[in-house]
Amino acid sequence: MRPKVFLIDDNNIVNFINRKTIESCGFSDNIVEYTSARKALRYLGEAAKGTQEIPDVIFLDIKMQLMNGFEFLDNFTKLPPSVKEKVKIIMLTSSLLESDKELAMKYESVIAFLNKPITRDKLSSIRSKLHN
Amino acid sequence: MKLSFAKYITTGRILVVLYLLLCFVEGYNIYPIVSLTNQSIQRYDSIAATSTRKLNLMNDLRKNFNLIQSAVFRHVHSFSAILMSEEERQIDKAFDENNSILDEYQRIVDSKEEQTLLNVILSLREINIEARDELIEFSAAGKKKEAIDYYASTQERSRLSYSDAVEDLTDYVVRHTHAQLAETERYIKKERISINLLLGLSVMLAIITGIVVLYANKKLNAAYSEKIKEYQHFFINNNDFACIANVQGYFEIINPNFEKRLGYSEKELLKNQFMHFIHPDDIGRTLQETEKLKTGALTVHFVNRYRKKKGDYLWLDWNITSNPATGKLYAIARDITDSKKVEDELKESNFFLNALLENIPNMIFVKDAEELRFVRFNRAGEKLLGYKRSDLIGKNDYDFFPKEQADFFVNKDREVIKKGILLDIKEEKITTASGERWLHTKKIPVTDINGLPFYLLGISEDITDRKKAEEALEQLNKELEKKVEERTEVLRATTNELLENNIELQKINSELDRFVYSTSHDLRAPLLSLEGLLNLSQEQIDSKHKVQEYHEVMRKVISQMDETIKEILDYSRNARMDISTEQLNIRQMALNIKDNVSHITGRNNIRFSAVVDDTVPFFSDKSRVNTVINNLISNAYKYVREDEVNPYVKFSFLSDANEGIIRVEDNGEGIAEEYKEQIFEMFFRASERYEGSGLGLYICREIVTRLQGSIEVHSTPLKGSTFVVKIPNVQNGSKLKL
Repeated sequence: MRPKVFLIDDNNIVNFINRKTIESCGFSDNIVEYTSARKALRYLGEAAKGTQEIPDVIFLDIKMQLMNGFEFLDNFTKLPPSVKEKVKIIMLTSSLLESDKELAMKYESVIAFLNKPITRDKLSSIRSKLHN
Repeated sequence: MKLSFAKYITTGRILVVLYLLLCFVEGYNIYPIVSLTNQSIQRYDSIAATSTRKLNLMNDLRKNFNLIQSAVFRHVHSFSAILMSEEERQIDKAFDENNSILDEYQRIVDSKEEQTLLNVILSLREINIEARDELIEFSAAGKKKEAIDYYASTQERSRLSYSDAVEDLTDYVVRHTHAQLAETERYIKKERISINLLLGLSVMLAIITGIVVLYANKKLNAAYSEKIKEYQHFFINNNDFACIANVQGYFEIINPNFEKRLGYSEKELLKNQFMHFIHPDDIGRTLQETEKLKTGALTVHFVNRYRKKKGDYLWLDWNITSNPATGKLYAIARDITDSKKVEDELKESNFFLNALLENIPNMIFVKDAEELRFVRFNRAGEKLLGYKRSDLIGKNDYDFFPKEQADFFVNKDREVIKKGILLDIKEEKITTASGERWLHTKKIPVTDINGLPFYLLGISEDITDRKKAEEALEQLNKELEKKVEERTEVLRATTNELLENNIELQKINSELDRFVYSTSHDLRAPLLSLEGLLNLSQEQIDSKHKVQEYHEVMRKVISQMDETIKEILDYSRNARMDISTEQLNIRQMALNIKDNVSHITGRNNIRFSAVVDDTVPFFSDKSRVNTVINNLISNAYKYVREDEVNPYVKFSFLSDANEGIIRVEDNGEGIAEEYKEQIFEMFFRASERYEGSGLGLYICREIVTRLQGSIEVHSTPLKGSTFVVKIPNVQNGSKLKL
């Protein structure tokens, strides 16, 4: 069973790299890219109503225009449990700030804090985390 | 002896006046009584005379009647014609006489009763006349018998009644007269008593007055001798010197003080001329004064010194009166040696105080509290005002100073007098003969023994020099203040500049922080992307196709990164580089940029138009204006709406003497209202499409601000945006203030 993956990063080049990496290591082939966190959130809201498929994993960037990663997380926690409890979120960012990491890890759904670029090794550690 | 001499004299005078007054009153009362008595006596006499007359008339009447009776009888009985006519003649005569008697009586009747009685007689007379005529008729007719009978029957009766009537009247007269006389006598008696009483009273009063006057006189004499004693006592025991001297220059009478105080015996004093005792220096004056008495003066007053037996002198204050008739001198002298001493001391102290006052270098003046006229002035005052004291005394402020000043002084004076307190006038201007002076004046009310303002004391210090110095100092101060202010202004400007700089620095600092954070992110992001792409290329090196794809993306990443670095350079350039002004060819600039942008973005389908009106030459900083236009056009190209079939970018420029206006209009994505302000912020992108660093508009605003222009945006989401930039035209070499 391959997980359904959402990639949320306002830079479509980053999304392109992430997709290619995730696909090439066989992590998932069910990938949806979002350059807008708001659009992703809107989808999740719809999904909670059962009309759409709920993703298993979300790779989330922090520094984005209009709605950044933390704003997304704040809104995400307000979603119904059906969504909240299923989705695991992995922060994927270029931020080197420890404070960013600490803040992110406070959200229940966040299971990992990764630095860009994503690699095969990083993905395999995520996979084992998901299985646990 | 309480009554004074004068009182005795007054009392005596009052008594004499009272007596005279009484006499007058008495006389006034007695005179009418005496005249009344005289009247009564006259009345008495007249009553007596009238009565006598009446009785005599009665007598005559009776006599005549008897005569008539007898004549009638004879007539009746004779019958001789001769005789009868004789008788008739006698009868008629008697009747006539009776008629005149009765007429006379009629005139002097004085009571009703008497008249009644007289009327009886008158009526009887009528009857008798009738009877006579009857008888005479009988006789004439020869009827002797009838006549005799008639006579016998009537005459006897008439004779009786007639004599009765006369008798009645006589009785009445006698009675009436008696009564009247008695009454008159009573009056006279009464009046006599009144007169006697009044006379007695008068005598009594005369006696009393005499006694009182005598008594008073006695008392007066006693009082007088008492007075004389008092005078003597006064003369002898007087504390002053009292003496009587004569024209020869000798004392005649001296009181004991002369012996007691001067130490000579009375004999010595009377033996010598009084000039003998007088201080040689005072003889002249004494002679001069006493001489005045000889030439008519009644009293003289002077002071001289009398030598005591011991040799020292007494100061005597003389008061001498002369009697011009005798030439005698009546003199009283008071020993004023002590007060003279005090006076001398006072004079000395006065002199001293005066000297002090005169030598005080401040103006001292005294005005009377009533009219505020000068009563005193010192030398400093004369000098200050430039007037002599003699010109000042008795005058007031209005005589010397302009009205305005005089009003001021007088108001202050009145205030001091009214309030009764010292007034300190720190500065007052005064116009003197030598120009305007400034005074520091203190005004003090000087009160009399009852505490009422009596004088106004003024002390004025001439502070003109000080005032001038102060003014100079003030001037200096002002200049200093001005300088300080100028310096302060400079400092303030500097401080403001520093503050501004500081704010700028803080802004730069925080921007730098954000800048470092953002740029590090924005610069790292492409690097990390490159790393990721490299990883993918390495893994899939076998697939030439995929590697090529990754390279393509890598190129794009590098170009983006380059653009970001360029923008950072633009930003840095604007911040660091000086503004250089030159005439700009906007059209050329816009076209070059358009070519470059369209090449980089690869968007060839966008219709670009440029309308440039730079008829008025536009001067500004070429590099900065270029950056602004580049960013605006580049944005317009980047944010084209993908579904727009006819995308366009319209560039226009219009310059005038003041400014150049750049407009860049597109029909692209547009900007949501909420982001319109934020788009000019650093690293802000109003789009989720990643097309740039987010520095472009920020740099635009920075540049426009630096050039003192403005930038604004009008936009409707999904319709398009229009940016309007206004930049000052700095032609004619005028420079922008930095």
